[in-house]
Amino acid sequence: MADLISKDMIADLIINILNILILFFLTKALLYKPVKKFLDVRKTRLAEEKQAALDAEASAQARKAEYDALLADAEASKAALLQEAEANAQEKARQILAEAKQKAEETAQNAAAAAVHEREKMLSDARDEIADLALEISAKIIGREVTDADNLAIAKRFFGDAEE
Amino acid sequence: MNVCKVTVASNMSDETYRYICGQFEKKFGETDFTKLVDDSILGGFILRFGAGVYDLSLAAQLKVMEKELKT
Repeated sequence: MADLISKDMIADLIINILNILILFFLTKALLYKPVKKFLDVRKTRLAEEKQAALDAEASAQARKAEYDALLADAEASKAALLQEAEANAQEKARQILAEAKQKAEETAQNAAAAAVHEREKMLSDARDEIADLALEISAKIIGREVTDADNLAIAKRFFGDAEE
Repeated sequence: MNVCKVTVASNMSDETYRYICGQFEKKFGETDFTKLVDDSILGGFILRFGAGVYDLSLAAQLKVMEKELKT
């Protein structure tokens, strides 16, 4: 066994171990730490970018929700306005119909009253015409029939009443 | 003296006219009469004097009838 492991081999081993250690520490100092630092920075940056993306997405979602709410309000307002307009139109139509009906009734009443008035006027005019005719005939008859004796009778009756 | 206009129809005689004037003077005193002939009164007479009018014409009676018939 001592022949297999000589002092040179031990020295080489120690040197190799030292080399490895030196290499390890050099690598750690010159490579590992910067790379780790670089990776850490990158990791941080990626985390920040990821967070920013998440924030952006959240903001977009919030904005979308807000727009959806506004759209829903607009739709609700539109429906309410349409309903109100329809109700107003129906009320207006009902009023117009009621006014037209009332006007028609008034016209019918006025026409009936006018017809009654016209009939009464016709009857009154007929009565007047008959009266005029009767008086005309009477005047003609009286004009032919009155005598002086009638005149004297009128005078005697008047002065007899006057004396009384 | 009173003044009186007497409107008569042509069918009145002078005698009847004088009767009317005489009776009027008896009632109202001496009067100056004016005779007017108007056949539109048909008969009877109309006395117009200061105090008023006495319309005893037949035309007036017919007017009264007309008013009664037309009301």
